[in-house]
Amino acid sequence: MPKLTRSYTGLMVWDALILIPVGVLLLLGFTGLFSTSLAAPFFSSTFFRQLIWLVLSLGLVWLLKLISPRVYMDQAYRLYALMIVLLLLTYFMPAVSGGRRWLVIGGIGLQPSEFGKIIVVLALAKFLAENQPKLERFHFALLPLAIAGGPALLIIGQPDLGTAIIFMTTAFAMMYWAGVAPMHLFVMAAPVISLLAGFNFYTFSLWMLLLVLVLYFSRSKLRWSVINFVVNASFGTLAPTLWNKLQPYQQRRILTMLDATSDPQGAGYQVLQSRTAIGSGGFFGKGLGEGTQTHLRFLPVTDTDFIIAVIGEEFGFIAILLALILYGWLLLRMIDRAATTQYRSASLTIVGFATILLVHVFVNMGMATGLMPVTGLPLPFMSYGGSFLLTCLLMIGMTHYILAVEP
Amino acid sequence: MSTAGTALLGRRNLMAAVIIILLVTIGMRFFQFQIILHDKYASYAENNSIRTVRLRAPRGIILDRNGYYLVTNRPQFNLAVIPAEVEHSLTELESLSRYLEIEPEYISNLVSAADGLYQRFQPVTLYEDVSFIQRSYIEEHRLEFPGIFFVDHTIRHYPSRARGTHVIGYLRNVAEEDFAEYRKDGYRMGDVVGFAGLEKLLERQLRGEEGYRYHLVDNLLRDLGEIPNKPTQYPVPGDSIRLALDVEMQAQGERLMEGRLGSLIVMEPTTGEIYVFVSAPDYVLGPFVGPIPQTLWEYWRDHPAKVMLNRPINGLYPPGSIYKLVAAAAALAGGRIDPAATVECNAVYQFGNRVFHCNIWPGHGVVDLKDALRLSCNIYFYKLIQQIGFEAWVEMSLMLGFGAPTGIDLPQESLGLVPTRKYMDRKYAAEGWTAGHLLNMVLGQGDLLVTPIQVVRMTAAIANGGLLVNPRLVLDPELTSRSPEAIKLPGWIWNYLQEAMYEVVNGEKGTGFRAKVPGAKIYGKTGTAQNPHGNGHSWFTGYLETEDGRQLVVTVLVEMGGLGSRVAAPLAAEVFRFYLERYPPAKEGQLAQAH
Repeated sequence: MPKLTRSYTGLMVWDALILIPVGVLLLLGFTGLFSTSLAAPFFSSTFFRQLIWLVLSLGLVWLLKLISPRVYMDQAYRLYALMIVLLLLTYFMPAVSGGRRWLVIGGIGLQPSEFGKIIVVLALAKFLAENQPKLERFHFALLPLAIAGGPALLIIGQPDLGTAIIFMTTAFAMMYWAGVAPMHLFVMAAPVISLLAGFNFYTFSLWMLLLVLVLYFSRSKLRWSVINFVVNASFGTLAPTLWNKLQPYQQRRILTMLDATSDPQGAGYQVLQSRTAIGSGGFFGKGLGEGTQTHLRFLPVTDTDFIIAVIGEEFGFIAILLALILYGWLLLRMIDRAATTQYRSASLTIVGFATILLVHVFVNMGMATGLMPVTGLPLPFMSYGGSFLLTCLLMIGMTHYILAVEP
Repeated sequence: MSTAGTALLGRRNLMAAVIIILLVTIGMRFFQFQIILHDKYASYAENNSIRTVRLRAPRGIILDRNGYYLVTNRPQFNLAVIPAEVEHSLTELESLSRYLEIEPEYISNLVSAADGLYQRFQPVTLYEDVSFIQRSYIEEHRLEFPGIFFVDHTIRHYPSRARGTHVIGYLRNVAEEDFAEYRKDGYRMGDVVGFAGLEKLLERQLRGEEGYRYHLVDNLLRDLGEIPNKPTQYPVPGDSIRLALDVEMQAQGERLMEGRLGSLIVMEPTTGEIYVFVSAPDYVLGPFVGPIPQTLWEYWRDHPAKVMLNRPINGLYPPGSIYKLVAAAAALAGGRIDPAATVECNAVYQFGNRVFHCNIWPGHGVVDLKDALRLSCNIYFYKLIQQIGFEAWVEMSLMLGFGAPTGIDLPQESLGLVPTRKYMDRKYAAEGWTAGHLLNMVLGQGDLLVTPIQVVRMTAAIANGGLLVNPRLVLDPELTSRSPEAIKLPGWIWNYLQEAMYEVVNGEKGTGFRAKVPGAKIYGKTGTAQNPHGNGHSWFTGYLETEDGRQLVVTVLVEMGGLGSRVAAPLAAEVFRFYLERYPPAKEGQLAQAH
């Protein structure tokens, strides 16, 4: 694949197959926010504020066309360095509800970790595109993991486990797309699985058996296999120790995933109320503004983390189905375009964006139904939150501009 | 390019598969909750947001035989606030204490104590039972006290002059220790339940059925008002109960017994309807409304005069000479004696190596059975008991209803004690017992114990000619009564006893002469039961017969009152007189007209 060298015109018809799902999802999200904002005065409601953010974001996306994608794709490493600085700065900011995620500049709060999602994708795309032949070597393939892992560690410290997980999964997906051997990816991911499996003796034994079989049939070198086994075995054994180093709320959230009824006033309470909201919605929902779970405030953080529960309660399964189809449509279209684009870095960037969106959708909606732990990941195009909305729309905008570079 | 393209296509397919699998997983999860488990979660959501407010049923009211209120309900207004609404106006709130006569700090302490997330939105009662005057004052200055409101309950109210304490009984909160017992009948902790007297016995009728109102609440349990599409189920008030009691006569009875210990009971002998039921001393039920204050309850419970003892049914007394009627009945029934046969009483009776005395010096002279009852001659009965024997006496005691419950509609009636040969053998196994004990018993002393209501019932049986009725306080016989029992004795015996009782009151030197009411036909028997602790217990039992054929039994017992003829009999006369005033006999002419 040739490198991205052609001059950028900025002229191209928007891909309707990407715009339509995004537009409908935004509409659905705003309907949900409209419902949660019913009781509040209009101009201080989340609905109105999100509307302002939308206008602002669309403006910024429109302005983005003035910059050639080549600029931000080439300057990815510098942007990456800037992001690291900004992330470090958050540690000197006052804590907001138990976390230091915000950078307050002139009264406006920004989350560097949100824009960091884009920057990490750009940096990874640049690195993977430029070093493709070397990726066949295992040691070299570890470098992109470090590119994502550095900021991920800073973000875990904020603490924001969810975003850190996003960084790492995105790195894996992009590496796979860049052609890193699946066996290498397996070996890289194995310690994480060992870590999680380590909490249960039987799961861990089963996993170790599987690991040995894979190593055997892949016909790896003996030394290589032994190192692998030892690393995984020690990760699994050390897991309980590492567990105790987690924040109590993180421990609680993970445990809550296993049994939502165990902690009814904590995170489990939220999940139970979210499930109740969703389940009580039924097929057609209770109607706009009729959700008792939403409007009697049983449902927590309705605007952000649990917006899908509001939609599930008031508009029912039919709306959920619509949202899932739209997400599927958008993501498949993005992957499709990524697969057919001529430029390696453009392709990788789009896959990175798609992965970020997918993980957000899966984790957020999984969380609302108790399938995933409560990680505080918002739902793309729907959850209230300016930084995140801007990030999502910038990703869509960049996807468009990058594709426009095509001959 | 082509190999790279194929590889990319493979990766694209795998990525697409991952996307689809993850989204379908989520979709299935939503399907599970929204379609399969929808009903379950719909009811969760409903339970979340609906609070059922119980509407207590007004307890049934209690009336006397003429429809006058004995027990009613009245609203009680409690002053309450929602802490979250008054947190910033505590100073204003404190000035409420002016009207309520409580410490200002008391109010603010109560409000600040409710600082939990949920408690802050739940009403806190500042003051219970605000009086009408206090309430009007507060309502007038309402604007000065933001956030206050009144909560009304119904509580018991006793509007009558008559107290009827031991008849009515009182209520108590269902407490933790007896919750298990009440729970199955739908009571909850803190509910009131009849705990004594008719309030207890008629709990099922008086209680009514509670209603429900459905309120919408939010996550902090803040009340958001009624739910329009779930209509209120209104409570069904308890049944009104009409008693046989006459409040005016009851009030008189209570007045007569004031300052005394004992019982005064008035009953219609054929129906068993009780007009007056006094256990003295009694107490005022007023402070017992709703839940009783524990300290007050303990005060009365531990009172040395045994205020809480329901003397007519639970007081156990030797009956004294009124029990001579039983011996007389036994003698007549067995045919062992000739009622006309005489005995000479010279005040002293030698039995074995013991000397027994009569109640008057130098004795009653020559007396037959009727004379012996009229004068209450002991000597005659000493001889009589030896002729008829112990068994016949015991048998007649049981036939007249002693040693058994009378079936009165009050809980936990005592049985009294009729000593049998077996009982005596067991009790006096060591030293043995002799006919000397019998001489004591025939005078209504010794081991024999009766309750006043048993005496009433026996008197009624004599008056009505042998019908052993169940005394009843509730007018409607279907609620409580069992069927009366006829005593199998020939009619002439009842006539004989009636005549003897008439002589006691009206005959020469009859001991019951103080029960006489001019122009009325009074029957009676007095008794003075010896009491090791002081004066004898003063007894009178008798009845009135009006010109139009009505009868009314009156039994008076004054503990340690002294002579029955001096203390108990005049009290009975007062009752007879008042009854005749209230229910005067119909004139001959009216009777004729009625026929």
